[in-house]
Amino acid sequence: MRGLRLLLRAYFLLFLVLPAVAVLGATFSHLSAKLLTERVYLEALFRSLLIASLTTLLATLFGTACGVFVSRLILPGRNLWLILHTLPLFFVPYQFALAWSVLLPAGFSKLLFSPLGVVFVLTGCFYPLVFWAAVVALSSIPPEEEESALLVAPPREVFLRLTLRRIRPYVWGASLLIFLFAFSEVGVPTYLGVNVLPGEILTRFAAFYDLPGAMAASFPVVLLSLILFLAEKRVFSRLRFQERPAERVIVFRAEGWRRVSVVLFLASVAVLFLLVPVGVLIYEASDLKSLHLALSRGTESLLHSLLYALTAASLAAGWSLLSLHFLGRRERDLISWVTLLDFFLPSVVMAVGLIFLWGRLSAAVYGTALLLLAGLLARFSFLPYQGLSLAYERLDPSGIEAAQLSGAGELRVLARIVYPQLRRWFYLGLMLAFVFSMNELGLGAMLYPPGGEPLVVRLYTLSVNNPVGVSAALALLNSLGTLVLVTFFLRRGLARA
Amino acid sequence: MKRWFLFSVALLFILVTCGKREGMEVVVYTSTDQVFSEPVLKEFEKRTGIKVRMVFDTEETKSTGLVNRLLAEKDSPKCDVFWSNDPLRVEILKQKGVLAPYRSPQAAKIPPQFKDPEGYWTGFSGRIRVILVNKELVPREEYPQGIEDMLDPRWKGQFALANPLFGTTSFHVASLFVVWGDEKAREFLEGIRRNGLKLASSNGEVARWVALGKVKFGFVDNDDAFSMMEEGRPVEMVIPDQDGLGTLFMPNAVALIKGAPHPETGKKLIDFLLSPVAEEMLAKATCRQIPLNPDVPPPPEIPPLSSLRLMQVDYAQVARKMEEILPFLRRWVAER
Repeated sequence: MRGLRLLLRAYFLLFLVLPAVAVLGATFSHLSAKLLTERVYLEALFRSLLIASLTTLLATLFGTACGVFVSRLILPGRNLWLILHTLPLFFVPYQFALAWSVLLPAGFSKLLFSPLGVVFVLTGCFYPLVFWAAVVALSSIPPEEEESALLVAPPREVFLRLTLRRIRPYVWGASLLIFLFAFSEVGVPTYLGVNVLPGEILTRFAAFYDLPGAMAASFPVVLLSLILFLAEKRVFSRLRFQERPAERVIVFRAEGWRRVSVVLFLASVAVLFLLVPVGVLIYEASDLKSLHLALSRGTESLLHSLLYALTAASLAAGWSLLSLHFLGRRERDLISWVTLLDFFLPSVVMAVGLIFLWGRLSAAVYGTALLLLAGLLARFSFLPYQGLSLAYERLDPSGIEAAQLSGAGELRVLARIVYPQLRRWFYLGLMLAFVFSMNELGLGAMLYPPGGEPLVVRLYTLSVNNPVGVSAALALLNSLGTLVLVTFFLRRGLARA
Repeated sequence: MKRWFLFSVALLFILVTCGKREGMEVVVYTSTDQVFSEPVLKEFEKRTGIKVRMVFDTEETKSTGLVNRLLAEKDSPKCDVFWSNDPLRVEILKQKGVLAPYRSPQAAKIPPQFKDPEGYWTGFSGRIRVILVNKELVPREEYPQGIEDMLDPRWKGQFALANPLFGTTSFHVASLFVVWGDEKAREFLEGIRRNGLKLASSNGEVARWVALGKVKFGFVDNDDAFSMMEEGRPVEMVIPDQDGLGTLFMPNAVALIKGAPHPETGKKLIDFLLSPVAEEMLAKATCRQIPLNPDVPPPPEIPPLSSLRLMQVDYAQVARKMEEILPFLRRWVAER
């Protein structure tokens, strides 16, 4: 087992510790006060903060409201609402920006091509994170708590004083993630012509290959990521995950105009943030010429995307499982911190850091698919690791100890006792890492090897001077590829759960 | 779990071996829009069986991104051929010692002013700078006719230009510095800023802004204009300064990289790009590029090159000027 442990530690060091050290070291060593005198830079920083704050606020409001309504009210078609309010996560945000830019008439386009337009598009893409945080949190509250409270207080008061308080850490956690994602988003602001800080960093690096300049420009992003990282770590420590949801949950019956209003609200959010943009994409992509062109131009890139995303997701999930079982508690805690930190570093900054690192360490990695793989592993190992680690801590140790006492080898214990109990979490982590890797634009655009362009990058570079129908068809191809694999993972993960 | 392990190892193997496939291949970096360059490169692949590995520039960092990447990789080149969408970048790369000379037999019919005298780069199919006007917002008789219209107060805040640090706009601005001299060019840039210039990140964005009515007109390349027209947008193209300065003509340029990993296949790709086949493909595509080989018919929508009034510029001089004015342009952009 010593060889395996060495391998797990090598993965941790190469793909997780070194990138974080490279990014932080390079950023702090290239600090320059000169940047703070550049108007464009300061404006981009301010705009990024404004966009991220407004997006977080709106996405939290929409996500929490939808989550509470779907979880706590008896409504027709509950599963349909769950699906409709999840699907936006499977689309690359700038696909929706593309759809809205096609749909809106000239009078509205000024509004769309502005920071408010960016906020609108990003809110629609990210509110499902809060929605799911609320759904999961509400389903894990033991019903006895609320039932007792309902004996002495009206439902409204119970909801405000007890239920909301119990779901708050989950919603906070999701909101922090949304803030980070919105702050580090490149595709939507660039497409809508809004200059934000990550776009400024990308331009400074990609246009001039100016590593010190790009790293210096990254300082506020890294600083903010560190602050959010610490906040998130605090929030995570307060979460009490349930291996399974509570067996019963409290639901309320809404009647009359209240019921109609709730259904209308849920439907409006789904129409606005999912059905309209996806409808536009389908309409634009519906002619045969566009479909043919998209398939001929996009199939190879889709295969590249699937290869990168599947490799990264399966390695990250496998490494997470093995590390949790074979490494000691202290190492596991350290891994938890470092994976979270890497996840919080924006992809553009991570890409610059990786070029900085591997350009010096090994010419055999720079310019190859391994560099992109290293980037995906650094950013997304967190997703399977965190989920699996929460579930691993809750495992009943008696089964493992019994197997060990009866002489079963470590690998056999893992395969026969541990893995079956963590299977659901393994596939959930695999699925999340896969979805994020499929839709990762910043790393893809900066690290893809010659001839190995992922579909998300192709869609981005082709969006200029490409017929809208072809771009729309490519966007749908990307989402379809993602959804097919996600369905497969979900089926596998839930098969024996 | 065993199946997962085998699956991961297989994926990793494919990923590593795909990147190291030996055999006939060529690596090309290109700043020409992917939508136009890729079909030409695929055609080369189809005709020769040589695998083309492509890297494209993003629209926002057009030209400069790949030039700086080539400079960064100078000591350990990964690229064989650089297909630039203008001759300036290859001229800069030549001056920095990144290129190797190669005189293609296909270049015989290319006019000498579009070739490097020492054979470091060769020009082919080109584009012109045009004004794209939103015809729903501007009556035809009021269309702007030249670059200095951007100084006219009646257009205040109603026109756009791409970032002059990148792409063909940088070429255009550097050419103005050469033709007008530094003082007039700087005054012009300050003047358009005072007149409410909307600075876009790329020509594609300028074209989209005009098409959507965010501005009334903007300067773009003719391929950006034709893309919008083919989409059915309410736009029209004006070839600027036909009574005075002339418009800028920007040929593509192709060059072999010094120390290229696959020099022989690189030369074959250069031969193909300079051939009438490639020029014809680019003339017939949406970009309507103007061929330099007299045997290839020009696109019908654009007047023949011989009938256009063009800005008279020396590419080597413009390349030097561009490097010289870069700090000023960076400041100008930062203070806009």
